[in-house]
Amino acid sequence: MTSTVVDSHPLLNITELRIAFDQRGHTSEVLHGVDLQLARGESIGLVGESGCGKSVTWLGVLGLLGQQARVTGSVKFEGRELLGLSDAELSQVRGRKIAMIFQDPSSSLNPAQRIGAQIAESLSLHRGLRGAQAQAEVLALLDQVEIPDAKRRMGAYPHELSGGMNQRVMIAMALAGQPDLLIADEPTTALDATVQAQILVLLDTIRRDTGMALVTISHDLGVISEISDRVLVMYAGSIVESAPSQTLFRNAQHPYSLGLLAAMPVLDAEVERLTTIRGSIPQAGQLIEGCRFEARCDFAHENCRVTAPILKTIAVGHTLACTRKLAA
Amino acid sequence: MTPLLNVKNLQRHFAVESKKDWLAGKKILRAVDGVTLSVQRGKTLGLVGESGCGKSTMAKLVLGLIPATGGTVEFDGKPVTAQRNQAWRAARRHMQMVYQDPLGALDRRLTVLEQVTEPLQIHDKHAEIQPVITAQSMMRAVGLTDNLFKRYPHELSGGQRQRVVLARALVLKPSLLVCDEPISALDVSVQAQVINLLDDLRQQMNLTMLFISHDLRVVRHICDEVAVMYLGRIIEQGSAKDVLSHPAHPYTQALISAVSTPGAKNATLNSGRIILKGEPPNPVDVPTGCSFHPRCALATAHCKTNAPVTTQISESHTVSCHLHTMIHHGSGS
Repeated sequence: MTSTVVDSHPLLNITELRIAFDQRGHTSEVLHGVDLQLARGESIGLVGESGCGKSVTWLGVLGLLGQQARVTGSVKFEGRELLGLSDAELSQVRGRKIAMIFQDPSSSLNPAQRIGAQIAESLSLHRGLRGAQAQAEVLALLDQVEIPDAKRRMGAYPHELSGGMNQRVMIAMALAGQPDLLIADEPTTALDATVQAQILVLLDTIRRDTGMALVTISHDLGVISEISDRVLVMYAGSIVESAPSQTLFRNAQHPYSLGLLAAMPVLDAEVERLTTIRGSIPQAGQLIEGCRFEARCDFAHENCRVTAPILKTIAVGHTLACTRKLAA
Repeated sequence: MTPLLNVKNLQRHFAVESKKDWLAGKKILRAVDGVTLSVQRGKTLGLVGESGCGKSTMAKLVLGLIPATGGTVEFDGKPVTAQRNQAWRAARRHMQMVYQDPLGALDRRLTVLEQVTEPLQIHDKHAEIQPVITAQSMMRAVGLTDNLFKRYPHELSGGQRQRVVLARALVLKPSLLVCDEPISALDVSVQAQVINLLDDLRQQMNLTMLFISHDLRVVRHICDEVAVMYLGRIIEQGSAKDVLSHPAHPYTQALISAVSTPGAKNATLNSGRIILKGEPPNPVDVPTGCSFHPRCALATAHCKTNAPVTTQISESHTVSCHLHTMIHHGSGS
């Protein structure tokens, strides 16, 4: 188990990452100090609802948030600090060492360029491959992502392929730089159920074959549980619980994790009524002194409104930011 | 008892032009190709299937928003046609629709109270109670608080918007509610809130629902009956329990197998899971014989040439698959 045992040389080490946006004079913080370590070849999953910071964390890490964002803290990739690097320096890492795929493949691909050429562009950019060499590599990549009839499909435009095929092309482009870390942001949300299963198996196979680390971002607990060794639950800009997948799904401790698990209908049992989490998530930038989940929590007590809980280890590889269990 | 909604051999074909081969002329896309189903008053029928199988076209046909190529739709014993006449308008107030994306379904320039009042102003011109008061009580019934009434859609959260859409659909007290992926755009915890709300309203108002979704877990929770669509046809139909706990069609089995269960790592990803090869075929080129045969692990030569007929396998469970026809005939002779 690779979990949260402190690795002296983690692939990625994020400490106290904070992200804030300047908006018409005032600043609203959306990420409130995230600590995260990722070992080589590890597969972690991030779950949480929209606006919890699961995507913005990685956009911040890769410097993709633009001028309005203030990213502070430290992000060390292979021991090298990424925050504060110039665009030129960052582009040595982006796509090459850390690649990212997004939810909607058809809007990430260039509609006016054949898919073979788009993959070849990544190859020339990140690995300096050109001409016949690049062509051969494109074919190999299309084979790797299991696109049948690769030779013919190279000449296709994105609109000629289905959503599942386009997502495979996106994965091939991400693999072109032979990355050490692949970040998949809701990789299967836009796909059909049967195709979703295919893509998850593909991502898992590629990770095992290449030894790259994989971060899967999803709001679907089922997707996360299938391909992640370790799961991090995020709520309103902080990590509230982190545990090996099996532990999290059998023995979750944070009231929010429990709420998420209980809110899902099940296929093979009659449930009279679904458990819901009352209320809704706090607005981004809203100042909350104590625990951010307090207003929606059934276990909240006086102290929760005053002190914000911090992540503490409660078992091997299992950390929790809640005073409920720790007080007991 | 006559069903509230009765659909017989419904067809809807679209003519599409082939982009590559324009000389070949137009091809026929059979979006809905001979669907027969019925929903009893107060019951909920779930329509499931992958994108492009014809689910949403079915919704439009049932409401008379687009004309059918063939077959009939009967609502409350009267035929529904897409002619914009008085009969259609009168029937429309009894059948309402809820769409997937609430922000797209709402008018951004009207406050939510104005939007919920609007259907009453159109259909209930001579109502005794003021429309605004009826609208307000409906909005409270779906869990919207008074301070939200004057807001615009962009000022609400996703869950609140979907509640507004529901209030607007239900304010006329319709007997049929067609929901097209009503919760897919919502977060998990909010999804559960909206599902519970739908469940309550359905019981209080004795609603009949056609519930279109690709989420089998939600369908299992909310529906009495389930119909599985593949390439414009219903391939399996029955009570939610029968179809989802004892699926008979290989496609239904694969769909259920693709539902990931949290905490079941390895058990599902590597073994015992049916992973279909390929993707749903283009509905323009529907395969011959059984349209599922190119993706079916159990397909035989017979499946490639002969279309299966619908077979009854239990009192409330039908399936269109040669495997079952053969078993059925085998045991019968």
